[in-house]
Amino acid sequence: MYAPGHAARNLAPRLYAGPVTDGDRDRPAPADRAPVDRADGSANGADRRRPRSVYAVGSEPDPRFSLANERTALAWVRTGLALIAGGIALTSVAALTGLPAFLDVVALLACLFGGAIAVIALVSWRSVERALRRGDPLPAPRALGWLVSLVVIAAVGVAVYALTQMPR
Amino acid sequence: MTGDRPTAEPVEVYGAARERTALAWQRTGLGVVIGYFLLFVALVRHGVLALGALAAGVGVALAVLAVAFLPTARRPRHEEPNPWILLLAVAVPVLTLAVLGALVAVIPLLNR
Repeated sequence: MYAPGHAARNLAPRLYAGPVTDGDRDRPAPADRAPVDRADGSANGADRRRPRSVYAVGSEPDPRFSLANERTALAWVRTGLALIAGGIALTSVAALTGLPAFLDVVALLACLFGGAIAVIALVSWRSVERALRRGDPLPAPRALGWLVSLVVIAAVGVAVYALTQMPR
Repeated sequence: MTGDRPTAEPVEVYGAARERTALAWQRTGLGVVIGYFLLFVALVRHGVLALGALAAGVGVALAVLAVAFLPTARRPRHEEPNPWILLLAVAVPVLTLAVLGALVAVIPLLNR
C-alpha cells in the first residue's frame, strides 16, 4: 500500500526530523519540526490555519504533496462543474428543439450530482491532508466508483433513448 | 565569475509544482465563470431575465475575484490565502450553480 509519509521523508529529508510514530498523531507539530512555509506567515510553531481538524494534527508534509492534494481537489471540482455545465446545456438544447422531458430529468440529475461532487472534493481534500500530515496511507477514492457508475448509467440511458428515437 | 551572478530566491524550490497548482486554480476559476455565463444564457432563454442578469453579475464578480485572489506562481506560498478558504470560495459558487442549474432543468418540467 502506498504510504505518502515514507515517500515524503525520502524526497524532502530537510522537512522531516524523524518518522511519524503513533504518539505523534493528533499532537501539534513540535517546534523543531515547525513548517518553514506557513499560509498565515507564522514560523514559530503557532499555527492558526483553519480547519483546525487538519492543521492541528501531525507535522507539516512535503509541500509538493499538499500541492498535489490541492490539484486533485480542484480536478474534482472541475468534474462537478463539467456535469453541471452539461446539465444546463442539455436542458437548454432540449428546450430549443422540443425534446421530451426525459432529457430534462437527466439534466436535473447531472446538476445535482455535480454539486455533490463539489462537496466530495472538499471532504476528500480534508481527509487526504490529514493523512499526509499524520503519515497515514491515503484514503481510497470512494467517490470515483460512484462517479463512473452514474456516468455509465446516464450514458446507457441516453444511448437507449437515442436508439428509440431513430427513424425506422 | 560567480560573485557577479544575482542571488537566487532563497525558498522557492517547488516552482513547477506551484505553477501546476496555480494553473489548476486558474482553470477552475475560468470554468466557474463559464458555468455562470452558460447559466445566464439558459435563464434568458427561459425568460427569467432578472435571475439571468444576477447570474451574469455573479460571473463577472467571480472573474474579478479570481484575478485578484487565486494563487499565482509568482507570489511566495506563505503570502497565498489558506487553500481551505480558497477551496470553499470555489466550491460555494459551484454549489450555487448546481442549484440554479437544477432550477433551470425543473422549469420546463413544470411547464409541461
